[in-house]
Amino acid sequence: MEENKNTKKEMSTKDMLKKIILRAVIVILVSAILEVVNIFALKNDYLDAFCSCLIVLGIVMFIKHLRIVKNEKLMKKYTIARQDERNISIATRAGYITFYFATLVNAVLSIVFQIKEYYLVSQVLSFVCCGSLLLYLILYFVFRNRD
Amino acid sequence: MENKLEQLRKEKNLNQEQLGEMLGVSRQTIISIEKGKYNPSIILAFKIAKIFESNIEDIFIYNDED
Repeated sequence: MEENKNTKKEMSTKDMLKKIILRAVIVILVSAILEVVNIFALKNDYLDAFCSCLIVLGIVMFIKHLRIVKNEKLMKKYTIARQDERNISIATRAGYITFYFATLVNAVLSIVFQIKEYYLVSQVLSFVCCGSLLLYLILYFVFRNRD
Repeated sequence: MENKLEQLRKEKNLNQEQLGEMLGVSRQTIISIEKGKYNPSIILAFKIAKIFESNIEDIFIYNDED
């Protein structure tokens, strides 16, 4: 029965990995198309670098997850790492500390740029800061009512 | 929170890797629980109790300071 449960878990991991591989393929294809369009029509340096990065990222994602799907030992390790509650708790903690500092830095920089008279940058940073805080509040109330 | 996980694991002749596999968690998680650095969720605590055929309160000792 326990073995059956583990096989089920590995199956769901396999499905999830297949979805990630599919996403990687989509990222590679879309970036490649955008890169070709950029080379022949737009000729924008920023877009060129952006697409190249996305293609490399997609290839890395594709190879990494394909290796896991094809290797049972790696798949077992990946399944455990994915469902390990301590890992999840560490990632959650890291996430909220990152959010806290990112919002704080955004707020401080927004004031600094306002003083330095870079109004557009200051405005964008303020929007990002307020937007993320608003999203946090909305999600907080949604989860509070749901759970 | 103190616990008897290490003692019970050794009594069952299991290593941390094997116990981790049985519980579906990493070896690092077992190490952290044994050292008392990480308190497992209620579900993991139940799984541990089931493996050692014991009650949660016999494995994990709650102090008022916790």
